Amino acid sequence: MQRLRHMHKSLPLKAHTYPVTTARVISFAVLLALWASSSYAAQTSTQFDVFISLGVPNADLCRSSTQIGSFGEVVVVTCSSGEIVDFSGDTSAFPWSVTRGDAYRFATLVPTSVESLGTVNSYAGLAPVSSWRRVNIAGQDYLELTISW
Amino acid sequence: MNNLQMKKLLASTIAAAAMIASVPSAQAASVISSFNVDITLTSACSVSTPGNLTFAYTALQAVPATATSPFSVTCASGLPYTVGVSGASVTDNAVGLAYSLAITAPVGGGVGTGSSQLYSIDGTIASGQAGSCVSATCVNTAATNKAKTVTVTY
Repeated sequence: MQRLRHMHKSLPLKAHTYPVTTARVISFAVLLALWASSSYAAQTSTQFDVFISLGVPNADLCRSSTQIGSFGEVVVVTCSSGEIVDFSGDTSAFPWSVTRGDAYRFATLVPTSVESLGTVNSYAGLAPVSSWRRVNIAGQDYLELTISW
Repeated sequence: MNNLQMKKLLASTIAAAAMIASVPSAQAASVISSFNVDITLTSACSVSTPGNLTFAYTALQAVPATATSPFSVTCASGLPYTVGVSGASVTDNAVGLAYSLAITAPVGGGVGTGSSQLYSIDGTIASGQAGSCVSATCVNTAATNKAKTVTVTY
């Protein structure tokens, strides 16, 4: 009975304790929310694309850097910057020269014993402009190659 | 009604009218109440969508390729903010060219003015790159890392 009376006496005390505890929890939650909102960095964003067009205009010509003509002429075409930067071959007759419109011209002496030029190398035809021709100057035949793009 | 009576009636009428006219002015009063206009402004920024950045690059070219695309940022006046771009230094996974993106800010950028502030995205593909291409020309249509995001943080 004494114990029961004690329990009854303690009830009002607990009834006071719950609101206080609840208020503390709510206050803490509010403070936490305020802190969170003040430290949150808002963002806005948008999107775009990066488009790249990669051109390899001399790829086919430069891939075959050494070509042997029908009479043994060796022409080396060097490309290291997207354009032809060097030619090598028998330039004893005429050196490689840059002509109008960035065209490159090469000519070599054709031995008189050669009757046919054979086939034109297929890689040369892949340049935007290429031509081969046989010219006769002062009784000598020359093979002239012109490349441009 | 004789003349005297008429005069008395006229005088009474004038007196009554004067009293009636004087009553409202004597009773005019004001009651004043005041109130405030409270405004809560939530700071915000907006950013326009930049145009796509378009590069034309020739394999092994001797000079860098550049491209630029403008966009604008508008923030509440006085609001500090930062602008960033995703994937600012990557290698395109379709054509194998490495490039970098940078944001150029206007004078006074980084703090909102209430008006639009003009920024730009500047892209650079360094020179001397061979890239990856099986034909004479390739476009990075299939690249999965070509989409970029501009983010304004405030």
